Amino acid sequence: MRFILFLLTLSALMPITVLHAQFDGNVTAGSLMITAEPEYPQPNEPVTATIDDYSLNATGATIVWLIDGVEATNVKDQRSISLTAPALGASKKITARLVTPGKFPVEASKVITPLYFDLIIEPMTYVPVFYQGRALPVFGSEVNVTALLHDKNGILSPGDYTYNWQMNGASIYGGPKNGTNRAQITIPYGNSSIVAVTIQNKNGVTVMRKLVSIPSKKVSLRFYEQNILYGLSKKSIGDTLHFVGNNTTIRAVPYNIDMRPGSRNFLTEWSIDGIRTNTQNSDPFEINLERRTNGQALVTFQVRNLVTLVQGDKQSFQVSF
Amino acid sequence: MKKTSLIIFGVGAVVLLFAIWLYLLVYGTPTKVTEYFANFGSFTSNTVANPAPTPEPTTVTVDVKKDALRQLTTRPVVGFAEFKNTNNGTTTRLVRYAEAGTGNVYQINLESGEEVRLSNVTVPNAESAAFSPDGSYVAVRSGYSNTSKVILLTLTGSSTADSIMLDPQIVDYTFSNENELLYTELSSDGTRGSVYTPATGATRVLFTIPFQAVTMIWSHNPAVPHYAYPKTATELRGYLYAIKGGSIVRQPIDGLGLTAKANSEYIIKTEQSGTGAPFTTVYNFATGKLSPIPAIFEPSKCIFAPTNSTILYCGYEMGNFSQEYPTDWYRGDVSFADNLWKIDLKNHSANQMIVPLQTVGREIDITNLSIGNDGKILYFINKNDNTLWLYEI
Repeated sequence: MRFILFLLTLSALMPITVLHAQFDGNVTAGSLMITAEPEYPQPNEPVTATIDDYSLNATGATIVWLIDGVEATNVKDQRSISLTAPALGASKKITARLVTPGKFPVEASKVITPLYFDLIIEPMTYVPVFYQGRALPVFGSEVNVTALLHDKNGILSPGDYTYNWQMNGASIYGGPKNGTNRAQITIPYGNSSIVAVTIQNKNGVTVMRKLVSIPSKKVSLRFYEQNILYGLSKKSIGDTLHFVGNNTTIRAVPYNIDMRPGSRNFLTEWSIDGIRTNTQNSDPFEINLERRTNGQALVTFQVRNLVTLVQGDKQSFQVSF
Repeated sequence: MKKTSLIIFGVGAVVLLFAIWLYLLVYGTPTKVTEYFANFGSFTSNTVANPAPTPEPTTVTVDVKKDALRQLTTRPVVGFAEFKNTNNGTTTRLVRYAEAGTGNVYQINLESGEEVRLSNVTVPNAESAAFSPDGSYVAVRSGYSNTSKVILLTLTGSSTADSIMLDPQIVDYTFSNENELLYTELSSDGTRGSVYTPATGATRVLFTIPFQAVTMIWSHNPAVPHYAYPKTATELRGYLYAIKGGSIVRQPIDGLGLTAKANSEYIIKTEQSGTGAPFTTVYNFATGKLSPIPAIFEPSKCIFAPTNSTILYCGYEMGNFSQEYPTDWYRGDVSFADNLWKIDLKNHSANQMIVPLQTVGREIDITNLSIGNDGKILYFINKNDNTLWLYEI
């Protein structure tokens, strides 16, 4: 009977003992980690590597760092080290070893294989052909965001990766999608939006993660003097236009307005000293002015997108003639 | 005629003249501001009209024998190029340019000052132009909107030209050393770069770029690839790519509001700093290092010397640049009174060559800076009035 009780007691305690052994061993080996900042560095970018040993009793332990298997003696016992990510196409293995007297050393490694990763923001709004800059997003407009992963030979095929796009914390496509390296978003109300993308390879390993802030700007009107013989002035009209000749044409350019088909329902209105003026121009963004005497007048133009009423601007300039 | 009738007729004439004078006195001055203005006909810059010849002008002579810095045209210019004409062992330097608005093409002989019109074909709303190296072709963009078209002129040498409107919706264009038109156009998934051979009409695709808002850095040096980067926006990041064998190869250059220019040894880039002020650095391919240069660089204001890859010429006005530079300059909201600088990238030195405001008393906002093949003359457009200037180095 005593023997049976002994066996029962032993069988009841044994799993606990085994579990404890498993827990002890696994956590000790697995809880030592190396974190990198930035998490996915670009080639030749400065990186800070830090050991994470929160679940270890590392009191009295010596920290040894190895870079590609070679001990870095100058950073011995440092919890963080600074180094430079390798060049494009190369890898660097960082190893941290905790040596505690009377215990087996514990190691953790991290391999850094940097890739260039670009997020290209392309607002689908209007800028004139002579403007060398990029259009900016406005409320209600669409923006294309393209994720490009590069190795030293060029752009990596998007089909080899899964992309998980999010905007302001919400999934854009409902979850990860294979090969979808482009997201199209509509700018919500607010000063900016956060777009995040996480890229995994076919093995499910996250190879890149990035956040980008996309500002929301406003439609911005500018006026330019245009002449059939001399072309378009590349200088915008500021507060005052000194009208020298007998007539001139003014072109209003609504930078950043949404020009998508279906979104081009514009209200445009020219007025002179507050009196609405029918320009009779086939292009509603142009007005022809003719001088008949001397004086001053205030020329005003406004444009508003009737599909998205917030999109619009109204600006004036003084004409001295 | 009786004397009475004569008197009646005379009095009537006087009364009529008095009535006209009285009417003009009372009603001659407009009373409403709307009467000052009227619609003066209807034309639209978005309409790409068929090129049409314009009347023959008289030959004019440009004063070309003056100072090192001098104004070449009073006409506004949208594109130009230097050519050399060798005749009986004598080489003559020529400049051809396309006039803004009309697209007429002119040639100035820099030795004699004679200016002649090479093309009387009117390209409505001529916005930009590029010349082939042999001077045979001129590509001129017509229109200021996104529906503008590029018209190819073939100069025939008799003050006129053959013209064709190119089908693609061309975004950016230049000519190669082989007198082929290099251009980009939008595609459904980005930008397509192609080459068009005017002599045969053949077109072939050179590369594709997976986004649409592209700034091209066309190379005319076989040893230097074409480069591309997303159009600059001061709040958005840009990345530089080399186009090699049809592939887009990332370069170690990026930054907020990136603009860049490259040759075989260096890349010059300007970006926004964390505080919002732009700054310029130079990347050395040999060392892989970036180092600052004490000027704010903008691609259309700078040009590498053709004979010395370490020399960069720039138009630059010292001062404070806004957080929106260069996009505020692109919009035409700000302008500069530039000085011309020679920057030695190897020795990290900069030499101010001329101060136009002091020399000619004019504020010159330099753009489209170009240099002759022998590296002796800088050409540029003054953005303030679009006139063409040169500076003998």
